[in-house]
Amino acid sequence: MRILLFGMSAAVLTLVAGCSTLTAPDEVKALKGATTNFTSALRASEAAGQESAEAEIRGRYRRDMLAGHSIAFDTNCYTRAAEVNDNLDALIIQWRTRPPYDPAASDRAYRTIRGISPCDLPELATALPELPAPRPYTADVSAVVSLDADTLGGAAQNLEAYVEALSDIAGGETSGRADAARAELFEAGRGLIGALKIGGPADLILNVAEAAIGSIIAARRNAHTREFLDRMDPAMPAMMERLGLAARVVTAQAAYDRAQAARYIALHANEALRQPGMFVRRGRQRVASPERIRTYDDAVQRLEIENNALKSLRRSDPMVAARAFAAAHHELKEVFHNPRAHRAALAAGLKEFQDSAVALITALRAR
Amino acid sequence: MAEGGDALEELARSRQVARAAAETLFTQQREAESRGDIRTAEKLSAARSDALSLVRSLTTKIQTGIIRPGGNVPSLKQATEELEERIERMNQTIADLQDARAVLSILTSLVSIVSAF
Repeated sequence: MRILLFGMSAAVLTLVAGCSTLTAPDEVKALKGATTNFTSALRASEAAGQESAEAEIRGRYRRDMLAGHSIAFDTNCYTRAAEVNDNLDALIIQWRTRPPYDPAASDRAYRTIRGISPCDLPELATALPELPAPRPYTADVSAVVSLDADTLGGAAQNLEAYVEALSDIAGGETSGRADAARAELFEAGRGLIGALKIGGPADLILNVAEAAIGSIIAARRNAHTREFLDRMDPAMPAMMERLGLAARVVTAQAAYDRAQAARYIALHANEALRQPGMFVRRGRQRVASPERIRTYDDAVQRLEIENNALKSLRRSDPMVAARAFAAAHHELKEVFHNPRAHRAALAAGLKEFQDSAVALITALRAR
Repeated sequence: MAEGGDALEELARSRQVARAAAETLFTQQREAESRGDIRTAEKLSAARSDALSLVRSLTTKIQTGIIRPGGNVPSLKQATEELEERIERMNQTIADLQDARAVLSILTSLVSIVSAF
């Protein structure tokens, strides 16, 4: 990854070096910096406010528990976690029985992940506010293409190799070793798109991509990078949609596992906290026994681990990263068609493409 | 429709059924616990763990089937064998339970789905 990032920076620097018009005025830089700082300050303050509100609620419930009041964790997290997995299964069944695949239906099926409320203290077990849905997708995703990998980690490796090779070619890093670059890019392209079907669009795409890669020479790298991008572009939306869907399925399963675990902890704690042995007499009052305190604190601690993992899973949508990668690839293709008129866009396009690749690779590795 | 046969669809269907079986086993386990029938509860718990492990295994196969539609045929054969083995084990685990008829019928439907691969 470090090598990839270094390669990307080098590629961007090479492009930037040739583009004197890229330097932004100092005022704009200062304004951008101030805006970023302001936004992070707002976010930090919002997060701190939320943490303090949560701490207040936890404190109140613990005092109730110590005073011997009845107390119960919410145990509904499982239901919504099962629902999102059911929705994805239904989507896959629908796609196979009545094609074509519909990206908007995939968005609808997955969106329920945000509704999973953690199994926690009742006032903390709230659902996430509805977040904006991923950008609607209009590109053709019907092509049968495949990544030459069995796992998300393997797909991330293929992507890394692809982006590294493309960055080298586009940035001129390979001018002194054209043959090696050709071989490298060809392998990367082949790794990324495995031809799967006999005939059909995938074979066609692979064949033309192979021809394009084979013709890349350092002296005309822009023209050939453009040609290569042209060939890869039609396959990218379908490939990324598949990758995003596979990652969604894995993410939803992880959320289900966490919700299952949390439900168990919550159910058993709720039962244990009600048992007569959990209370002792203090004068005329009935208060929590040391065992009740231990059981409660232990449950809170264990639930926190499961719920934190669950909360981060329900906030994530790997499809966003996958579609951003396809979009950035497409934009890069567009600007390569007119590099003279779009010098700044060319550098920015490559940078955006590389950033989106890093985001996607990170998202896949996190599964 | 042709890619990978309809194995992906069947995997998704099986996953739904296995998840429903796990939930039914869970409900029965809780009922056994509340009756104080610990022996039954433990067996149901073991069967439920196996159902959940089956769900996870199916998820991995579905993931592979989505990202590599043409490359999943050998792994699906393997998946089918794995599923049959697991279901056989689950059947044995709960065969001697009096109150497991509903679960058995769910598992039987799962077997019929799997054998249709």
